[in-house]
Amino acid sequence: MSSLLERRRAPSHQSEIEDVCDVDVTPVMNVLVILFPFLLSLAVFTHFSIIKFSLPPNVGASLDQSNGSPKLKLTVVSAPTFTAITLGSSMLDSIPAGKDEYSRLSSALEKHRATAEFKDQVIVAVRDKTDMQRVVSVMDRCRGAGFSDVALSSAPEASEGPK
Amino acid sequence: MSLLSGKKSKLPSEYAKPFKPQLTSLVDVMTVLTIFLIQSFSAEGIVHTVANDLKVPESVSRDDVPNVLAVEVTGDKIILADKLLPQADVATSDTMLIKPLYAALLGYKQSGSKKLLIQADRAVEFARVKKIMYSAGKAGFNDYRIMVMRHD
Repeated sequence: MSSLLERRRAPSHQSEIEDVCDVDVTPVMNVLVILFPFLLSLAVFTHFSIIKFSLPPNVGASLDQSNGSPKLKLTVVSAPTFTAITLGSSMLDSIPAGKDEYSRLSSALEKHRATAEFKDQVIVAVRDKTDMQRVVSVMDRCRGAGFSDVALSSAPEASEGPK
Repeated sequence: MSLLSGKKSKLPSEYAKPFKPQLTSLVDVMTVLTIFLIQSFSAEGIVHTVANDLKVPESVSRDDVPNVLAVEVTGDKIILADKLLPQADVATSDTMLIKPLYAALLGYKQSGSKKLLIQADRAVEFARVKKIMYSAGKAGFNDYRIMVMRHD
């Protein structure tokens, strides 16, 4: 084996080395030059998506009276300064707006989902002054926590925020 | 001068060879660009565009955008199917119904679809979107979607 290697004669001149290593890239360039404008014309640089939501009456009016007693659905109240999780009239969690607000919201939603009656439905109640980025972020966290059916409604301005 | 006079050049043999440009680096660049373009290739067939002054909210949602009637909502404009709607005092009005939008949506009701795509600016307040939804609901559109920008 070693003798075979030894038999290979090392190229003595620079020109000989160039002849050995020279790869003809012209066909590759031709292909790329044709492919490049085609892909450029079909490229999408900003990817849009949608969030589908329903209105609370379509979710079942939050109430299921099949057993004679109404069953409440988990509600996330979104306001410019805080986010709260409520069930009926009782406040389960309140998270002030801040740096780690959404991570705290995600963990709180997962915790309350475990004990919730409806594990796939949640209502996001939004106050009027809340901007849409905040609404979408809260809806994202709800979907991320496992609620597949997110309903959007308006929250009354008079309700109490976090203390 | 030696070229003009037709005399044989005295240059070494390696310079006398025909000029070969080095294409390797160019191929590298083109390959990287092609891979990037293949990644951003869209085979959906529908190209969605939004107005220059409209920045839709960012989301982690991956649902494809359907080809349905769209209403664009910015701080001072409401555009339905690329037509700017006249609006007087949507922001300050106490009434929920936006009459120009309601009237325009009634014209699209004959198509049979109840789906409406809301392209709202990320800075728009929910109160404004609420009025859009109310007016659309009155006109028979009750299946809503919010357009968002994919964010990883």
